[in-house]
Amino acid sequence: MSVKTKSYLGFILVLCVILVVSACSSSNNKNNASSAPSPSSPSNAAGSNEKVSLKLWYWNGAISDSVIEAARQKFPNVELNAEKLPSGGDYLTKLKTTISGGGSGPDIVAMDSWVASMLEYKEKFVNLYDHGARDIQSQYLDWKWKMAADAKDEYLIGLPIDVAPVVLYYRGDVYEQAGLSSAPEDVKGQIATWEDFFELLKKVKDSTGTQTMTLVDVFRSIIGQNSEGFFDLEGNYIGDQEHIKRAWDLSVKAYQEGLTFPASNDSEINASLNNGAITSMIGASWVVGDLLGAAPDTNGKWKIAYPPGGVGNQGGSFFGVLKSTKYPQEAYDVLKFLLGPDNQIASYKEFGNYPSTPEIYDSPDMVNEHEFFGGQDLSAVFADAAKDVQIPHTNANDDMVGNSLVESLKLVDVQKQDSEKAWTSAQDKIKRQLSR
Amino acid sequence: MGALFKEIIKNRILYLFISPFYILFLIFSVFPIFFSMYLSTQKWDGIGEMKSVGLNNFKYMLTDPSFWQALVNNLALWVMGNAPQLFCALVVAFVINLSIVRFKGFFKIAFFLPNITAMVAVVIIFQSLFGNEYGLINFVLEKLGLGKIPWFNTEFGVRTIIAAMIGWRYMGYNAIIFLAGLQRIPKDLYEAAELDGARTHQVFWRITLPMLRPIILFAVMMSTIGGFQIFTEPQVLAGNNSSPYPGSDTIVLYMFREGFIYQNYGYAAAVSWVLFVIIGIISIINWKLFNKSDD
Repeated sequence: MSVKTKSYLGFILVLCVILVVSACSSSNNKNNASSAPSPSSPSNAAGSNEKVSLKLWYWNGAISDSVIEAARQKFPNVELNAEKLPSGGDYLTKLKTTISGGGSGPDIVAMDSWVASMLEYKEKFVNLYDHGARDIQSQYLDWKWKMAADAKDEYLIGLPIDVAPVVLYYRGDVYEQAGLSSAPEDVKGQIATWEDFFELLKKVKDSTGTQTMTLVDVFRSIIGQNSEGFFDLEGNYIGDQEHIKRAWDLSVKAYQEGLTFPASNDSEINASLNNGAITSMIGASWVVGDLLGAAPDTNGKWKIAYPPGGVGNQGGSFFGVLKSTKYPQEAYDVLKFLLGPDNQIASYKEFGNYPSTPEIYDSPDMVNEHEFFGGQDLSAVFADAAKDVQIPHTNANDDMVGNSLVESLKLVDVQKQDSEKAWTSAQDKIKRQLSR
Repeated sequence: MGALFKEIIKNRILYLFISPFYILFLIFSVFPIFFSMYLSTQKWDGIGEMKSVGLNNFKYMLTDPSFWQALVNNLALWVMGNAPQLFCALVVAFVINLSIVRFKGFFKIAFFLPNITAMVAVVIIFQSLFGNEYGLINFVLEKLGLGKIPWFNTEFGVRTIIAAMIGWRYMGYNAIIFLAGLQRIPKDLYEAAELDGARTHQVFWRITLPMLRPIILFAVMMSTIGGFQIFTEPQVLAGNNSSPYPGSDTIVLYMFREGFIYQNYGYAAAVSWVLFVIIGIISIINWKLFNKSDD
């Protein structure tokens, strides 16, 4: 190695060291500033000149960025650090590890419909009732609000962001081809029960050969309408009882009559939405975005209607404040603003997150005549479907039970297993798991 | 012990310089190993209190049919994914190493390329290839008049998809390792064989294979360890929130589901220790098999 190369390498090495060291030190300074206010300043910084720093965790689509920007304008003394994290299970894992670590995490966190499972650890969250949440309770949908409150309604760990009313998505043109009316009101009138819905699907299938989604989707939609879940209030397992078996039997019936698309993966489902093999599906309000992406060739042909068998809710999120925050009151004030009715309209327009504040449902700003749905005003149907939702009691084992049931139900389709046998084996497996 | 400490104190500046490694190693490797050992005897949901349950986690595991099914799936995937792949890799390496083959550099890169692709993207492409209704492979089969195969519906079909992914991804990697081993074999052995009039297949079976034994041991061992840690393929194949396809629930997937989805962290730690023991046993068997006839 020549002297010249050596000196070059030496230079690069020194450069690296400087970069690494400086990166470390700058981030350290920042951390110190945000996590350790000097002892002389009061921990409640309202009124003082010091900026209140709040870190907010959310995922893409939980709330509109323009609303967060508006909150920055509204609260000049709050430094709002909004961090967008990957959504889904990864987010929940990260939140749980942060909470169990107890260290300096975020101040405000978005929570999905699993918010109720966090009630078990409510002492890790700020009770929003202590900061004035009672005053705004009447603005929000009652069933939605109660998802984040404890059984006695004395401890509230989250404020509602949006709701996800479940509706029927259907191809108006295909229904007309089948000799049916495609008007949403007429469709609603014909599908009061699931059995009625299957009758209608049968007509569609017989004349056009098209189907609805998989039997698993049918099953999930039906149990999503139940007022009871897999466990009762005392935590006893009730997932082997009539309300679940009925959903099981109905979805198997739909499969046996050839109404459901073969159980498959997402890309196949997307392809069949686009090529017209699936012409009816039950889905939450956020399916609009998925449908737009999956089925561009069917632009203008879809419609939505009130769902068969009554209303249900899939998703829709909350914002809560962690106990580790230094500024609970400021955090609550920011949330109250972010989730106020006016800002909910903004989020709806940007992402289609349907508001949880019913007072604005009739507002002219809410009219959402969607080109993809042939100019139908989606908000009218969503408003109808967002009311009087029954939220079953949740339990930490819900995921395990739901997955075990779905796994067995799928075998009825893909491996032609006997429905009763699959039901029994699923129940055996669940009871084994619960016996631990 | 005292002498060691004295030595460390004496050379503290030097130890300070290497401290970034051993501090990180202590925090991110040694501590988690011992903590997971402790955790495997606890019941813990990640946030609440830990509760000591002794060996119950292990007892439950050994009587859980899902665990044994995962083990069977793992063995099947390991055999289907690695046996043909390693053999092909050996043949490819042998062919590239032949003196008549030109553009060796090109072939080396071409075969290695799949190994640096993003696994998730590969899984999604294979998912589309093998799709039940609209997959490319079923499309071709139908055009040929053979009829669709519902790949995702049977255990064998799903394992074939995953084995194909593993083969596609690691064949080139193993071929490069074998190639390095081949080039280590002294030329004079081949020259002597040539003088004696040996044919190509005789050279392969009589010289190449025996001389490659340590390399093969390495490749088989790494494939075994990798094979028992199959996770991404079945996980991404089935999507985020649903259960894995039939025949593809591996032990790591089982552990992940128990730990990070159902929040049984103690149980998941116990599964990881059993996985460790299984991999250890199989590695020892590999070692014994391949070293048996060593002089």
